[in-house]
Amino acid sequence: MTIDLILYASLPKFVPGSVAGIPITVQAPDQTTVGVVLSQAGIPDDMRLILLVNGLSATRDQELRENDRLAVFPTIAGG
Amino acid sequence: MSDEFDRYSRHALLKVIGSTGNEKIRSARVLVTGIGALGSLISILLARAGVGFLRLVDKDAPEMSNLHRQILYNERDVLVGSPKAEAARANLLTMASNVEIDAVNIEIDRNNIDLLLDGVDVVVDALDNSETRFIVNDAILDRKIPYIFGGVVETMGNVMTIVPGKTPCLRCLWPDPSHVLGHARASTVGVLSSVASLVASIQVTETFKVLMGDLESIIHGIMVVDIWKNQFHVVPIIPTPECLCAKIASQPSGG
Repeated sequence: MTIDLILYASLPKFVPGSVAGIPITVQAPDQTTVGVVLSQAGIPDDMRLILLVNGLSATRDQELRENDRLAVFPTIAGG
Repeated sequence: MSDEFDRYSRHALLKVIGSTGNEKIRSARVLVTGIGALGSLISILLARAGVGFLRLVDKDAPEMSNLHRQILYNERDVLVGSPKAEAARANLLTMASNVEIDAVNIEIDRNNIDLLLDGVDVVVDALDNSETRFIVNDAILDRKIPYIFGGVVETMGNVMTIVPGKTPCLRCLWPDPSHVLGHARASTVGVLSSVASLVASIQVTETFKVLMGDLESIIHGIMVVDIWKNQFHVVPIIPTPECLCAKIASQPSGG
């Protein structure tokens, strides 16, 4: 299946050639989880991230579907 | 021309504010939760704009390592060691003596949040942790008070305007605050002073929009900024169906 992965802020540094806010098309087997897509993109498993699938809050163990848009950005919570 | 009119005339000239808008600002009562880097500039801009009442809450005292970005304080405040709330009030009154300032030197918790929200029209977030933000988030949903979330770390920032009944809330970003425990902090990875000022300025702009009643112009989603990379994005968010904010939105208006 095809997934659109959209990285924001500092995250494009993990995917050479990627640009913040521009979708990256990712091919993945059916039932691939958010966590697997992130790991394959080289994003560290221990990073605190905001994960949105089609605009809805998601978790790393959530399964993705064809044409899902996975938006990811770091937790930015200092004041 | 009265002194009062002259003082705020550059806002009065603006189409988006005008004299009517200045009156709305003058009658506004705003709570600023946290007066560190974000809260410093937020408080300064709101006080100088003529917000009638500011409640400022923080439990810390200014430290020398704060001064590069917490522009409300000076070296003397650090040497004296007075609480931020007290120093903030004193310094703000030198800029805007006509603003009523309620400076509160406590840590926000579930027992005091209702009292802090009492009589407030808008809450502007400048906290440094997500656990306390959730306390505020839940309380403003209950009371239907708009809440301008902001956060910064390193060269990044984000802003989200939460209007109960109309927008998603913080729980639509993080269903549980434990998911973000251990997030990067200024004390460990640093924070660029200018990104704090940028995010605070955007939060104040959002506050003005809310006070003007211009909800069409607020950020719809969450703004994610990396000032070093010159990146500004607004990421759409859909309310989580089971979230309290979605339930409020589904209630009949006036109910």
